[in-house]
Amino acid sequence: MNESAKKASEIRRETLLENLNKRFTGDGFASSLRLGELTLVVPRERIVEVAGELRDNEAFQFEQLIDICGVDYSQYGRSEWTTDTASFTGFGRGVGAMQGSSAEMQRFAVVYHLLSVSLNQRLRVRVFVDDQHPMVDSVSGIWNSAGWYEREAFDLFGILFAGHQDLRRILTDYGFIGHPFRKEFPLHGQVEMRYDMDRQRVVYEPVTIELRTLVPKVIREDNRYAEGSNKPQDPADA
Amino acid sequence: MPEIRNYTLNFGPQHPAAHGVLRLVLEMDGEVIERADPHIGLLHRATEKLAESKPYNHSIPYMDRLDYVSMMCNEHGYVMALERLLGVDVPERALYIRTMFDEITRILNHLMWIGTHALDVGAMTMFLYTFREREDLLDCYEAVSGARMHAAYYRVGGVYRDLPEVMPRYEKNQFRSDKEIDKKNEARQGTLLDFIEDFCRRFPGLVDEYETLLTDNRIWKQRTVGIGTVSPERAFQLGFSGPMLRGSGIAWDLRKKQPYAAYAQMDFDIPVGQNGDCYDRYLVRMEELRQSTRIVQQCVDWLRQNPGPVIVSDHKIAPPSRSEMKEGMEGLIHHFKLFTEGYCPPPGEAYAAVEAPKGEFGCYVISDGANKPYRLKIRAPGFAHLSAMDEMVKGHMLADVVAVIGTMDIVFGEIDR
Amino acid sequence: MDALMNLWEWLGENLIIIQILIKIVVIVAPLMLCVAYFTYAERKIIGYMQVRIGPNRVGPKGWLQPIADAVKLMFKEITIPTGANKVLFLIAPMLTLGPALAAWAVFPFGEGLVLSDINAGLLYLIALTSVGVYGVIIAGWASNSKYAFLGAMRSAAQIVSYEIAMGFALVGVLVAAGSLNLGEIVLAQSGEGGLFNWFWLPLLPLFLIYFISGVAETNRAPFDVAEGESEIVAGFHVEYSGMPFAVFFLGEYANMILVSALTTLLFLGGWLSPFQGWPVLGNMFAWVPGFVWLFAKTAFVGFFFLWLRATFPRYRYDQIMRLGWKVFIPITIVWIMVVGLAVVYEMPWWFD
Repeated sequence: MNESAKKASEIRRETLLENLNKRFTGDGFASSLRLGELTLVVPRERIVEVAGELRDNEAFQFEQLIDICGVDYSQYGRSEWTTDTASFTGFGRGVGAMQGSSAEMQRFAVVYHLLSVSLNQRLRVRVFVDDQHPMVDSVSGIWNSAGWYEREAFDLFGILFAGHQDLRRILTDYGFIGHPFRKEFPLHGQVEMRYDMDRQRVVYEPVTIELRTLVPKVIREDNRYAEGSNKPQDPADA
Repeated sequence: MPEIRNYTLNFGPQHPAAHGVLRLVLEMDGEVIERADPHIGLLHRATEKLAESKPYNHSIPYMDRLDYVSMMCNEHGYVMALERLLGVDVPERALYIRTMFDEITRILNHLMWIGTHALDVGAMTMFLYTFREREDLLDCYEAVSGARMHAAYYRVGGVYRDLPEVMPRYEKNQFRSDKEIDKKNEARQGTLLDFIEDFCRRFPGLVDEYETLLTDNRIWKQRTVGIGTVSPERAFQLGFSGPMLRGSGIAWDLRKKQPYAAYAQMDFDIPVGQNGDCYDRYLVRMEELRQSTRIVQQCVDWLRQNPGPVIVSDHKIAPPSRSEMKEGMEGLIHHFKLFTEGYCPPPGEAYAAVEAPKGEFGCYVISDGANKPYRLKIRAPGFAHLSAMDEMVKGHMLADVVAVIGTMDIVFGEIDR
Repeated sequence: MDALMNLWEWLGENLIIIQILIKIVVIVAPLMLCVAYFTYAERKIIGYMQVRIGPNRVGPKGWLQPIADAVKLMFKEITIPTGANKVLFLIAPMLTLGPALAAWAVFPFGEGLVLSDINAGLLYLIALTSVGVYGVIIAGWASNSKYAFLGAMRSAAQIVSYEIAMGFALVGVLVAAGSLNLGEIVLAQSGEGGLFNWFWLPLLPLFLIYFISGVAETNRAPFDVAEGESEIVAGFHVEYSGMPFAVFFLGEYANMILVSALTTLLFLGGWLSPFQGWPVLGNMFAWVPGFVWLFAKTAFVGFFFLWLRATFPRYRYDQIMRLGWKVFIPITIVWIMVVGLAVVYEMPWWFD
């Protein structure tokens, strides 16, 4: 990309950030500009109102909803590699499945990626949803393409979208139980399927394979990336 | 008077025009579609969940298997997201190689698309013609990565290796005469770049050939003009991107509007349709074939004159060379750490989008500072397109459903992920 | 002894029947062979059109491929869907093949070389070619499958519509020839001009319409909506396998050959030499038997069937209807009037 175009897009982003800060003030709103990407956190009660504003306001004009992504933050910043316990053969590799969820943060988030074709800019909108009532208002009335994306987030994370016309499962099998992209859902699933010769039909049984961790998840505190704090940042302003 | 009922037709998942595993439940009144309900997910492999359990690099081959007819473009989206997260600057030569292979991929994809689209509409010869040309391009894939389809060629920080000096040739065998083999090898005497250049020289003529079969064909026009019309407003609403959006008359192309890789230096045009029907989308894609050839040619010219590194020299991200690894302690450690643990990007999130042949292919990566992505979300263009199925086929006939599936350029690898 | 005597007497009385049976075998056996090798020709020709080779593994240059196909199909299991009406399901393929073969009864292979030289030959043909559609409809209905049913409905509507255009085209021929007997229609085309004396020139629009309707009648591309493999998978024969499927296949190809042969008879001078009456060429080719010309012309027309298939996309169902009713039928009616006037006023060369 040549320099002037780069400059222009930077200026556009900063203007957009200013406009966002001007327009969306109050409790629960937060905006940030990181890695050249704008993020706006919206309280979940106000998502439909904000979405409509983002689409129709002259300063934003986000005509297109590019993507909706569900996120499960329950194991955010948690390392699998615990080398505290040393035995005489060496360090024990703590590679067991991670348990529990952090209580201080809301567990789920719905992330909307918006694109404005007329102003050539992008925006990420994030709504946090708690574990007890994972429900957000549907934006499918504002962007029709949200229909399937919300079905997907519902299917994979169990996040409910109030006001959605047709909130069925979309990617998983008919009659699937559970929400596979939640962090506590094992990678190999819960059931396996085979054809039973005796009963002459396909049967579902609990999985027999065991989960192996080939490469443990490890968090390195890298000096190059350290900006004051070494703690994993709160995803809200990440 | 007897009761008149609509009936439902189960279209797919084992249907020749379902492009894989699409299951459409069609509510029909005679031949006319009243409602179409696509059921997807039959090819769901949970790529995103798998990626969460692996170091970043291990997921690059998964990307090939998403949209398995535009392999390298998917890789490009993924590595771009990671590069943004890591703050890596890619060497210029790698950018040009990526641009060239993105465009080769686009040609590959569009050839596949026109072949199957025409086959769906009943013109079966097209399919075999396009596969003849795909063969040559897949050979380029093979020459550069060793694999004809699932290349896994792009890496964070560049590409896996530089372009080969020799283009692989056909060997003599008992199934073809030596003369035939010599003829096939004629273009393969030089380097890969020579071969690609030769392809660029003859390809526009071949596109003309395809067009003589279809563009002015009355039956083709009757089958595509006015079918699956989408207005620009609806195209926005339905989340269209790529040729589907341009077919509706919106000049939006990430390669121009948000240039990445070396697209800012390229000279090419964006074809735009007028009516937003299947025929316009057909014309748009046919023109894209020509424009892609132009871009590939420009990349070839640049790459000939500018040798250089094709991957970053930061061994925290890219492995050291084989000799460095064998001879130096530091190289060995880097190699070991990189292949056992991988690299840990700083906590944060990045969304990178490329103009894949089918539309905007985006990767959204959330990192919590670990060596594996905390969450990877793949934005597949086909997903949004397919969700518009109901709207596009309502009131059309059964045969038009097939034409609309064709025009959407559906590949289930990316829709189901 | 008595029984033998009785048989001998019976044979004497019914010699004509045996004669006819032998004739039928003489016609049908080569016809079946033609059908088999027409499939081979199709695969080869379309293969070369599509930059590939076509079958080349079974026998030298793949010549035994049709035989291998036949053997394979014969040994395959015949699956009958649970919900299907068994009797009709099995009768349907025969209903398509039967008429396609029966039509050859009135077909003259040379002057006087015909199984049954009836005067209403043309009417017989029209009648029989229409019967074939019952096989398709019954197959579609009896399969108890929505795809098959859709295919049957499409096919029925299509064949009925194109029958009309075809019929009108034939009316033009019989007005021009002044006879319903196929042999006489051919003889009416002979003359000093050789191939320019044939009916294809004065009846050019009818010729084209007849041929195109013939393509539509036989459910061939670009009118193959009844099978339309990318829409309704295989249409009416989606549930068929093994021999019943093979019989459908035979019927389709026999029909194609029939239509090409009829086009030859009605518009391309049947067994007449194209150089008849020409100064030098006429004598040079005088020794060629009429049968060879007939065969060559039929093959030439048959080639167009294959060419069309390799070139065109498929029509949509309603577009076929539009073409049949709104384009072909008006053209034929107009041209019949033109031909009528030409005959009445004895236009030179053809009708004088």
